[in-house]
Amino acid sequence: MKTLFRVNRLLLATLFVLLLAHVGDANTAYREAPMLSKLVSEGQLPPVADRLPKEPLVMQVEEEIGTYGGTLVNVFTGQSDASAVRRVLIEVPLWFGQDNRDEIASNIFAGYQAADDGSIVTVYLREGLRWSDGHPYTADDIMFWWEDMLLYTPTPDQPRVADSIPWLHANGRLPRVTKINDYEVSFEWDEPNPLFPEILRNDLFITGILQPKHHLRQFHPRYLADVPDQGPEAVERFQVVLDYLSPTEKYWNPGTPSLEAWVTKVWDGRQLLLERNPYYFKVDPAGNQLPYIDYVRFDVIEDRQLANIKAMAGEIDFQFRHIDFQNYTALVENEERGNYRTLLWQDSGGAAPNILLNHNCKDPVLRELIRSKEFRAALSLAIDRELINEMLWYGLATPMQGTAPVGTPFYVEGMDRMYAEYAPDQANALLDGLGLTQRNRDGIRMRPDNQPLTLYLDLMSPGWPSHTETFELVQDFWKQIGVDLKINVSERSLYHMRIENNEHQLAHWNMDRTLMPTLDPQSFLPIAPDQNAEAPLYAKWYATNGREGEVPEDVYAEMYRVYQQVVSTVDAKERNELFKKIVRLHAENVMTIGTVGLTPVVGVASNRLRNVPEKEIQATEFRTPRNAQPEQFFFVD
Amino acid sequence: MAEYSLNRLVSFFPTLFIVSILVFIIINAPPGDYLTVLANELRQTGDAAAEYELGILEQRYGLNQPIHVRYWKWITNFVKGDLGESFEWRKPVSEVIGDRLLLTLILSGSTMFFTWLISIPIGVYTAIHKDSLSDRVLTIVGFLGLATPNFLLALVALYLSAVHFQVIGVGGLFSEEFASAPWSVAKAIDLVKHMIIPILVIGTSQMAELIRIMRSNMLDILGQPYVLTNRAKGLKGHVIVYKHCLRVAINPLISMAGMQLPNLISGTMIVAIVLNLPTVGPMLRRALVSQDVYLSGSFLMIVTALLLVGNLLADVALALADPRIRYN
Repeated sequence: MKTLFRVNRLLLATLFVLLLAHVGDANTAYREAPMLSKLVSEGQLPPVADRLPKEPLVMQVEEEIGTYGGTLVNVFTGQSDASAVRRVLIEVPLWFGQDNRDEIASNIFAGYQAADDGSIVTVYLREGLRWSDGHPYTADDIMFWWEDMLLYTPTPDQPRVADSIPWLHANGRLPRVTKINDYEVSFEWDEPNPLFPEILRNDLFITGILQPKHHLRQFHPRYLADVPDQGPEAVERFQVVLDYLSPTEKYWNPGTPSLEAWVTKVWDGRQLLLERNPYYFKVDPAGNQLPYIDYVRFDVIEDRQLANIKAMAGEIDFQFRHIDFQNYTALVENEERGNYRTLLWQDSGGAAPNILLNHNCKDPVLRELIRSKEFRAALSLAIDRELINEMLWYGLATPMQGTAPVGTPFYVEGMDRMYAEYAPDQANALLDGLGLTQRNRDGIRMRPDNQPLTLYLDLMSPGWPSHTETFELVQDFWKQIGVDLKINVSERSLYHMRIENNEHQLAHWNMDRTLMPTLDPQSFLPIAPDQNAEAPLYAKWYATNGREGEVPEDVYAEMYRVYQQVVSTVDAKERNELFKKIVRLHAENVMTIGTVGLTPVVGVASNRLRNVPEKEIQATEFRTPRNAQPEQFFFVD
Repeated sequence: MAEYSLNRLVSFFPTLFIVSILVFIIINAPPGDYLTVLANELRQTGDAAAEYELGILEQRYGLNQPIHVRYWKWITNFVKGDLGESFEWRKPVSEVIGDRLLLTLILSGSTMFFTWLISIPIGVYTAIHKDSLSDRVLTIVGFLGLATPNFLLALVALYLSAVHFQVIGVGGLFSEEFASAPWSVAKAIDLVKHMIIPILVIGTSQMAELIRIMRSNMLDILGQPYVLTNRAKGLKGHVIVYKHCLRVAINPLISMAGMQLPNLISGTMIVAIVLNLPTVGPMLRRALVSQDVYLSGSFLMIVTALLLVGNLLADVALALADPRIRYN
């Protein structure tokens, strides 16, 4: 007994020492993947501590600390499907907070500071951060982007790229960009540009800022001794440099330095193979350098449908893009055989689809009707959203009005239920109240000009799944209130063209961008003339600064006015509150008619793959599945 | 004969030239261009590329130039052997097509070989044994093959191979470990394994068609008076069939083969898409849909050239096979 006790004590002491050593270890030393340790011991790579920045980003893990190794297999349809790769790999200068996604968090940049009035934004780089080839990432790289890519022109008549980027301008003027030291760069405008920090974490805008000067200078006419700085040859050379403004260019050119977790090793048109970046700047809470997985592979498929079949056969490790909700049951049925699990995430969108009634409709009688709130409310109240949800989404979506959904930052209490209940009697009464009491033999109401009330809805092909079916249901719902709906399907380009030319009456779009509407208000406010079918002429008025289009009236006039305040408000909280006013105006006046929102998104993950969130939000702003942080995924055997 | 071939050759180039103009006009006819298609696609998934990224591409591809300028640039380079650059793959068209064209030729050639190998004997057999049980059975099988859409068969084959057998993985022509590997014996064996399903699927309907044609031709010939004479002279059955009937009955098949050359490239498009085959079919479709003008244009030119060459070859082959044509 006594000996046993002693042994135990000894054991405890040893354990304690080991534990201490372990903790100490985690604080002072980082660990790396075996394939990298091998290179280090062969002298081909510096040790991990020298490869990481002074303060690496500590990434929370979803479930547990992982182990190294493996190849993550995805599919995509080829180079034009670059988004598939981008959405797994992309690193944005700033990012969404790990605990609170409303927060603008550090990522590649260590942080930022905005002056009180928002006219000066200083960004701080991570000291010791290196490109995938070991070259330091410094302020010079940003200056290269600014001076040699955005401001440089190879001929005087070619416009500067910077001039064509609206979000770099504050009141029509570009900023002065200054290198303060190797790790600090300031952007200074004459007037406040309060949304710039938001832009710094949004891949739709800013990611092109990450440019490896030491690599690109070999193509740039300014740095080439044998090529003149100006002239036709310079134009040709410069084109190659400009290609890199697209953050996906590096995927097709092996050898291009990157800051992302995996770097292209092979691209041959059939397979894109990426290998771990030995200089990646993130570690897990235990000090293991990320990513856990050694290789990522994207196989080219000839048609997107094949993604679903390959998933069922278990040939894919992780995939959301191209996996269709329609195949949900088939995917679940084949789970065991394919050794994968089906993931059901949630789209952050407010309406799929959103019915857009054209406030600028060419038909004057119809325009008058569409502009009356009672008419829009009646059409909305006649839709049985529960039925749509049950029939087309297995009850997994949320019946709601088209607005920021519950649980998202711009949700306004009650707006999701605004005219969203199924009340055909009330709808009929509203239409009667508008004087539309005469009906023809088919029970369709007659318009004031004695024409039957027929609405034409423009649908895009190929469109989103379930949309056509939704509108077939809506046809029935509206028939019950004496409104005839006809569907006009057109090819995608034609669809956009018809909208831009204001040739449509009704159209549809997914209300997908509701998370950061201050920066991109398109889901609430018409700003894109070929997309905002609810008021393309107002959108044109906005986009051309009032030179073309139509001056907004009524509710829209008010909404644009509020938005002008939004973009000039420096305080983020105040700004967001202001935008909620627009959300409120939009829903209370039924500016668009939503159907169901928070729709399910289906994906697959191999049963061997861990640290994949069971529940996650899908959003364009998050570049989903990027927000699941694939660098902390790992394989178990 | 030589004069005939020469005549055909002379008309070859003007035809190609006219086709090239038509092709370019038709490809450019839909609204928008590659960039609008790309932008619209991106928009729908919420990936709308920043406007400046697209603007840069527009310049790069010269899409802001008028159509005749672009046509002239394309066709003059085409003559010099430069097929232009594919917008989508950002590589010279010849590089993009080359590998796929080779695989397509291998696959089409094998399929053609396979269908002829099987359908000609069956056609002959069913003609000789007209109205027998075996004729009936084979005829029904043939009709089934004709009536079943290729792509449906492909889907079934794909489903069976993917879900039930799991021998070679889902579609494709290579296993993943060989897809990017250089050519080797192992890779060739892998290719052969993967080719079985596509050959069966693509071959089935063509086979059915060939059997029908072969059978009716044979029946026609078998009823000719000279066959009766042969029999009366006491010639052996197989000599009559193979020497006196088959050689005549096969003529229509030879002219058909000429037409099949381009068909083998573009006709199996849907099957290739379903089966995920890295052949030219799916790429041609994508190029047309995404208005990748130089890629689709060059493709269509190659297909046209193949059609013309194929017809020419078929005529020559016909003349070789049938002395009557030669001496005319």
